[in-house]
Amino acid sequence: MAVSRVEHVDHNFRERISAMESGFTAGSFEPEDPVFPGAPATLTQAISLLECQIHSRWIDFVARELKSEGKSFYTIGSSGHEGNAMVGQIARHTDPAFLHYRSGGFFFARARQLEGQTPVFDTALSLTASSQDPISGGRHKVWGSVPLNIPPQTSTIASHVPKAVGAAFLFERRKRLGIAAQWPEDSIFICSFGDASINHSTAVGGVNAAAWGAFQNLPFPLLLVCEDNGLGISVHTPENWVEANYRRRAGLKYFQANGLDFVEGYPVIQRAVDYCRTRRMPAFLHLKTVRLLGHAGSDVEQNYHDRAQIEAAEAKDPVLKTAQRLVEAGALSPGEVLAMYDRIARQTRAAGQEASRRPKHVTPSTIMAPLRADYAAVNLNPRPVDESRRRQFWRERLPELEKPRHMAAYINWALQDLCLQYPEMTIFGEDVAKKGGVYHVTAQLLEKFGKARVFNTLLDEQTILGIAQGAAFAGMFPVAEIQYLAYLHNAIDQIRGEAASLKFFSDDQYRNPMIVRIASFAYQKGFGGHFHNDNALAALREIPGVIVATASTGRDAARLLRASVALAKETGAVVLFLEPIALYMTRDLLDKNDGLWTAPYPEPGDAMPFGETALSGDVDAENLIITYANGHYLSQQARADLARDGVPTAILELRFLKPLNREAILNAARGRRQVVLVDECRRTGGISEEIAALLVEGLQPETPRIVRVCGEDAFIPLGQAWECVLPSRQSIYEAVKEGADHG
Amino acid sequence: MARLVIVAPGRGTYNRAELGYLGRFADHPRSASRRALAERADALRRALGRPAVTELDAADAYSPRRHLPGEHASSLIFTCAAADLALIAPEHEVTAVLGNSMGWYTTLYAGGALDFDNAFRIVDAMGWQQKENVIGGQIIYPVVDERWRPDPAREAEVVAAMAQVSARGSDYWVGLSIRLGGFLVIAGEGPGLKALLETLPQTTFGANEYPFQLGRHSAFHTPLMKPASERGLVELADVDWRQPATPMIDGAGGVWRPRQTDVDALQRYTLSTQVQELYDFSAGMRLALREHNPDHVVLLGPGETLGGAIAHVMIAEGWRGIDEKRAFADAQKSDRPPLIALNRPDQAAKVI
Repeated sequence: MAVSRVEHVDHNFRERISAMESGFTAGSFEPEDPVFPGAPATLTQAISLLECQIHSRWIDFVARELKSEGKSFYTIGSSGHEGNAMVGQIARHTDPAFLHYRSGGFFFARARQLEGQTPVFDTALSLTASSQDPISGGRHKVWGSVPLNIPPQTSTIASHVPKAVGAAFLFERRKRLGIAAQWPEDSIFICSFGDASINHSTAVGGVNAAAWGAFQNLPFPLLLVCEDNGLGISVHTPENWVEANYRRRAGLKYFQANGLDFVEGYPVIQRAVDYCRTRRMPAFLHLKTVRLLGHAGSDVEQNYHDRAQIEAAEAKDPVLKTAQRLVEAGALSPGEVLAMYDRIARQTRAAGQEASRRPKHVTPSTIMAPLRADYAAVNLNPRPVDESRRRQFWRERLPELEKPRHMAAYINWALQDLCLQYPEMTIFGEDVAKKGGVYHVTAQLLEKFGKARVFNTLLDEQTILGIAQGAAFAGMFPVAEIQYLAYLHNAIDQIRGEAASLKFFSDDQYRNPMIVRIASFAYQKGFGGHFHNDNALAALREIPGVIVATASTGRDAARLLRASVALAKETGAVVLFLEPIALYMTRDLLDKNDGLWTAPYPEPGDAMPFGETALSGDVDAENLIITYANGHYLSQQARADLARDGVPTAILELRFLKPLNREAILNAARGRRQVVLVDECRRTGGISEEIAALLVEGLQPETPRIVRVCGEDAFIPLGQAWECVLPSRQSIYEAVKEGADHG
Repeated sequence: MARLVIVAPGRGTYNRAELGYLGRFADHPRSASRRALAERADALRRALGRPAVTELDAADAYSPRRHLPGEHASSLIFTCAAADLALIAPEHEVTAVLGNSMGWYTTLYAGGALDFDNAFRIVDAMGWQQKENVIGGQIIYPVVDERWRPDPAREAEVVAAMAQVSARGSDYWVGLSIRLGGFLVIAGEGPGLKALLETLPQTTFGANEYPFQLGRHSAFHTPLMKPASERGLVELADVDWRQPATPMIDGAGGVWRPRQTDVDALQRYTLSTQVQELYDFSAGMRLALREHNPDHVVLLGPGETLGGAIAHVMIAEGWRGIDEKRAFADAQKSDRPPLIALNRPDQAAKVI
């Protein structure tokens, strides 16, 4: 049976403060007087701190009251962590803050720095999932605010650490490029998380990345706030684990602050913030806290802690401690403290009741609004090309006038043109700088655009994608490279849970436009094995709101990359740009040196319209192949074979894999006898599933014969065996032929 | 006990119907406090050789020439509001106080940052400055529809008209003076105001025609008031400022809290900032509704013209489900009316 500890914690506070009545002596303070010798908090700061802590506490209490009335949907609270209000008070509201879910004190304290803020009611709207919640639009209970520079985070696993690292890093780097920022130049970036979530690989990686950079003297004005309550739900953090790991960590300056007693904690936090701001280096603020009221409303702490343990934590209540300190100093009487406590209780309850009556989402349309964008209406050339500058850059040897080259060269040229057009564009990943990438796609970019814009990262895809989010946040335009599609999968949550969800959980108030270039797919003739030949697309396809694009020729890749940049810039989209490795260097289609797979580099301004598909071959034939990337290349070969054998075939090539141009697909398939879906990705989770379903739903009862030629549900084996699990020129030929013969 | 937000009115709220306002509630148990405040106001006025407020209030007839100018109206309005405040039953919790325009001075008194004498001094001094010294003027114009819902197209039209007039030259400068719920109050000097009156489309809202210029008002809350501010800072340098006892919401949505107020900053805000910068009553009211969610918003007298602006903010906010004029009217008939105007005895009875 769940026994709420709210009554105990509330009673404890009232009892202990009341008990101080008899010994109370009022002191004489001016608002700017320090309350304690040696502790820098003034009377004003100390009383404000207590109020903010009480606000945070009552939000927790009221969240549970509302839940019991069926009006609130979130009970993870900040009780015991209210010491973080000190960080909220000491740092500036213009210091961007990425907060975890126990940062109520911080939020209330920061809100006091700006006029017109209504943090109690805003939080109540979030708890009750009202569509009027000003930050997430009722999509999640988050701490967030645009005017307070708190982008909303939904992570329970500290997966917001990499983006905070990226933001701090790129904010500093931006200065070297003269890119304007929306925050003061001495801003710091704050990221809070717990002692349990710091064990998560993403957090470990993020902290490691900051330390790795700082170790090389790269500036990172990042304040990492580890709020240590000693527990991860029911699992104890080993004694001294956080301190033992981070006190002497290379690249990090460690500060330990008592979050349970502001007289001790306040000066340490001030030092940590000052260090970070003035030295522009990462600080690790280890803030000691306790957890009160269990992990969440549904957590029955009595199942794993005995009463003595629970009461021991409750005795350390930081809100009580702040109040006791102020009473001991004579700054507030016990009566004043209790009056403040009760006044805030009434205020919070009133806010909760009003918020619970505010509108909720009742249709998918309003819920999904931030995920939608009118991509077709986007101006694909938002930054006109400066012709004379471009001529100078290319030293009069304009790439479109060069003899046709392969895809890798065209992507490289397109990146150069785009870097020229967009001074805020930054390119990074493993080996992208001096080496120019494994396939030389980023060759010469470092030399031409400098190390402030083109740089190698450490070997950690989570960090690469975190840097991309942080770069976008800091005002840069990131083009991140993931070396192989398989490497994306260790970091996919940085796209799925973080980058792609930002618009959704901020009601489209925060965006992180980016291009993620990924060397993708198989067909490397036996080399590299599964890591370098990955053809798993399912994990990308299911992510709401992202754009997945790929091309099969160099010319189209350049056009598609230009379009991708415009789409990301204009709509805030996260674009996953898949580059077929096997086609990077391909020039010929049917015969050696036929040059059929090359075409001139596209003229500047020639960007691919959103949703573009290409119908080729015998366009009116009864047989249609729908395909993309390597499948398109192989299908063109098979089509030549089929034509020779008297089977005319049309081919529809897709370049935007998500969202699909459903209309173009249905129009191309309508009236055909047979549609063959050539999908080099896996049979399960590959794009052919969606297309087949679309054809059935969209064309029935006149649905053509549908055949899928897919990658098998296997990992790609080493050596010649790869041929057994992937579509081939022959298997495509056979599939079409069979249908044509017997259909 | 009810939780209350107290709102103090600005200029233009003492009209014909308010004559004798200080004599109201004579039978109320706390009427003595009310009388005492009026007497104190009279004493302060007489010491300066100025007509007593009770004398103005008890006049046989309302005279726009006498009752409307700032040198009399400000003190009269402040005294009426302070007298109304004295009636509020002590068992209620006042969660915050705010006011419109000169209602800020009343707020300082209601919130406890100034005692009656000091608040009266500021009101009287700033009002007396207006004597034969009106600088520019104010125009009022509605930006809500007939159901009192925000009309962004109309607001955009006003902003465009302001830009168009201001672009004619420095003599034509007009600027936003007050955000007043469903109204914008725009200030400027002669040529600009005249041009704006001609540029804004004529419209009927409620019983009134708009745009119209507020009688004997200066271009309050704009840089044109800099001389008034400078004079005030000198004349009122010895005002005794204190920590407020109740949170006070200012004309920028800022909150001045008990034990946490920098009184020097409060003085600067009062005598300089808010005199010369936009007074956003809507922002303050919105904050009061959202963050305090009172049982009632209590509008002090005299009059109740500010009630419309308060209702407009409630509607814009959708507060308690009030989304248009009719919903507001219905809510007012309920057991828990969102707005209580002390001007209305039946409503006042709930809180005095």
